[in-house]
Amino acid sequence: MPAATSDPSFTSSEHVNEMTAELTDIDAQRESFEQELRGRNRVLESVATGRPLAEVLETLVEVAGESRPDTIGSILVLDQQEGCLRHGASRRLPDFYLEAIDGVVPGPKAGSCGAAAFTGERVIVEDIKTDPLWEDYREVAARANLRACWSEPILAPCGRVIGTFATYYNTPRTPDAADLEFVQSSAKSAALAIERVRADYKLRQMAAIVDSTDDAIILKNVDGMIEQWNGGAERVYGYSSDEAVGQPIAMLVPDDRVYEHDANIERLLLGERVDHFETIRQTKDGRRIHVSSTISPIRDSSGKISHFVEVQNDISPRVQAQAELERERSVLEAIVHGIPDALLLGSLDRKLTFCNEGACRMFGYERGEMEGESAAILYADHDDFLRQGESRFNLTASTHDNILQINWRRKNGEVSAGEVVGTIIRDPSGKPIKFLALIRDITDRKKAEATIREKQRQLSTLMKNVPGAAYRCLDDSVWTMEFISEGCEEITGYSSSEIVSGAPTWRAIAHEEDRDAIQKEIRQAVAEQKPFQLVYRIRNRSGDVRWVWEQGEGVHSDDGKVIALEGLITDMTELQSTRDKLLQAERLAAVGQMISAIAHESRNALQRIQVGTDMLGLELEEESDAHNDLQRINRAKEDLLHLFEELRSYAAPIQLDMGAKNLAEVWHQAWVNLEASRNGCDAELLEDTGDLELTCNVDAFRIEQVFRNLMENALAAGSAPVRITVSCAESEINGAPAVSVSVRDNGPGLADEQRDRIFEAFFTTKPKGTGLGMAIAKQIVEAHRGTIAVGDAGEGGAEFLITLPRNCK
Amino acid sequence: MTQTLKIAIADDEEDIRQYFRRLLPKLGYELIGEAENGIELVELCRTAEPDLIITDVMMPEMSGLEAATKICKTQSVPIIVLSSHERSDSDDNPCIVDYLLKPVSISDLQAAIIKACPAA
Repeated sequence: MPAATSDPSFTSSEHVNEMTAELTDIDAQRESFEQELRGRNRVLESVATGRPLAEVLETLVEVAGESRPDTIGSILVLDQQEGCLRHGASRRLPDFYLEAIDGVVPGPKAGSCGAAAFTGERVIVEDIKTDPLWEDYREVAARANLRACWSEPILAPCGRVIGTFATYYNTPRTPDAADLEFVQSSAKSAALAIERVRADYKLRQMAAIVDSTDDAIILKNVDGMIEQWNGGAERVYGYSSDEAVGQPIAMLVPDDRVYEHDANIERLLLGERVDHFETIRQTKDGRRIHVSSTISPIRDSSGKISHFVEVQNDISPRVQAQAELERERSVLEAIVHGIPDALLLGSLDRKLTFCNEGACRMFGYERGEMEGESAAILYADHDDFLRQGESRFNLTASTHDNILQINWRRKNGEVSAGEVVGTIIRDPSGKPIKFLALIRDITDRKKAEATIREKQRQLSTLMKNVPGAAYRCLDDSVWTMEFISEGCEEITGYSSSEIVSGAPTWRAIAHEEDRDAIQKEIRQAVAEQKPFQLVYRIRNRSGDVRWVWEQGEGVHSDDGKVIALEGLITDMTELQSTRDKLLQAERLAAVGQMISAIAHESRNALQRIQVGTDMLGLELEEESDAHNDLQRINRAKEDLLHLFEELRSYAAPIQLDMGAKNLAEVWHQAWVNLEASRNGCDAELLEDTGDLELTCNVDAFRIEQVFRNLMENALAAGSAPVRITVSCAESEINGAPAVSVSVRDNGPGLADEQRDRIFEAFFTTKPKGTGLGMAIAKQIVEAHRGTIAVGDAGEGGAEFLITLPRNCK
Repeated sequence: MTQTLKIAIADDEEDIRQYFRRLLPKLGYELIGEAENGIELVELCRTAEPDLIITDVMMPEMSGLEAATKICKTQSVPIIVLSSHERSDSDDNPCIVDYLLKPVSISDLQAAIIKACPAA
């Protein structure tokens, strides 16, 4: 700084202007003033061109040194973060000194600069050697040959200290007004430079932030025209800065959102706040995007709103993800509530936290009544609750997925069976967070199962008891049996498993002559979808022919195909023979009626013969030939009468007149009644009752007829002397007590043919016989539920054995 | 010997009626009337008052049993029935003293008549 100027008033430009006329050395003053002005312009120029702070400060110190060459300038800048002063720029200060003062913390005695920064006031130290402010730095100052130091705080417009501007001198020195003016002016320039550089830095920082953010930051004026458009806006909307700036913001607002945009602007203009909001904007390529937006007003220095800044963040992916999540959630909810089973979530202490609609239906509670309650309320048996707690809903239990059947209790107390599965739900890190249980009500299923079991039992009982074999077979050429009930064994001799295994097939069992006819009939019935009824022959295991009756029908699938035949087969061999017998009986009854009628009508004719012979007899002489002829006519008439009687007796149904009777009396009576027949015949009756009680319940008249017939035969067959032996023995018929009576003679006995056919009607060996006697005897005995058979008389004669139950009803 | 036994007969067969016409006098009885059916027999008995009636069963118009029932209601006259059917329990008319199954011989008939009218 030039030492020549002693008047401080010369240091300020206004003073220069005021006092120009009064100055004697106008040229020198003007020279100094111009130099200062040039120096200041250099500083301003470096500030304006955005030079770095250090360079600007160097220029400032340099300019100061040029205008006052004896001055040693130094600028310290306050490090706001560290709270200390840092070296900014200096001139002609040795490095050791700079190092010593770098980082000095402002304080009341921290040298001129430390004190100025601390107090915010100018500090003038005229002699460093003596001034107490320099106590800590006196030595280093002495080494640097520094004796005076004036320090002016550099103040920001707000008054805050941001650094110090100091001038050192090698000699003690007191400032004059011009010196002070110079220091103050330099500090102001430094303040300007520091503030400007700092502001510029902040601005560039801000610009970098604005440009680097993904958010769209848009500045628009009050007319809605875009003035600033950052990189984020370009990325979000697709317009480049060049394309967007100068265009109306309305190009980003879809028609259906204009009202919202305008309303927001209106509110802001009225001074209200607009909170953060989510809306829809449209991009350059016409997409509608979801944005999260803020809009803030910017006011000019007069407080009037000049611009709005909109900051927008594209939240479409988030909105989409959220929508996706919502959709999944509703799908999940529909599933959870739609399943018929009860789905329950419980906390780790087994309190219900969620129940689906299935659970409400199954247990009869409202959701709110269950949620928050212990799961124990749902168990019919508290022990089940405890057991589940040990085995399944237990964090230390091993995982298992088996299904358990448990009885559950509804709200109304009803108990029903349900199957439960359950698991532990864990978070992604594996930590258990919930218990999940799925319960299926199986009451209906159990009922259905019980019904099926009952039906199966009924079916099985039915199958066992049905007279015959129920079957299901394929409609193939051999009628492959899929099933045939056990009754088949009785019919065929083959077991159900043999027939089902195809050894033999049903076709093989069917009689070879009937197979094709059966096949044809079944095919026809099945084609007409009608049931079939068949009667055919089979060969049983022993090769015997049996008659069976079969009824069945085709089983059709939904598309009308025959998938099986089902039906019933019964043995009707006995029925067939019974039917034959019945037919014969019917025929016999008809014959009997006819015979009865003939016998009756014959009596009238016989009566007329009788009348004729009787009258003739009265007129003919006895012993005359004519009388003998008459006798022969009479005998023929008697024979005819006898024949009719026997025929009638055989053909007519037997009506028994039962009563207790000693059989010995009965055969005695028969013997007595035969007295006429054996007149003149040498015959005897030998009886051996064996001391047996011979009382039986019989129709005495009929049984007498049996004995009479047997005795007649014996008398007719035997030659004199005829001996008829009757002997008795205790016997039984079908487990009931009976008496067996043997009647044998001493005749020639029976030939083989006689033995076989003796009880057949009209079979006779006698020249004079109807051949009905033994048939009638058999009829009578069988009507008594007894038996009559040819015996095997040891002595060669014929023997008949009659066995009669004692108590025939 | 008291009065001759007066007998009425009924049969639809002329042969049989002729037989009685010839036989009864031979046996010493008086045939006081013949009927060809039950109606005629009832009418005959109303007018003739026989000591004994011998009747067939199966006759046209009215059977012998029906006629016997009617006669029995007004008269007490023994009746001998000749039938080609065995007697059934329902024929329990007290006037019927004998029931002979055809063919009936002279001796059977005579025995029956004597049995029915012992005094004759």
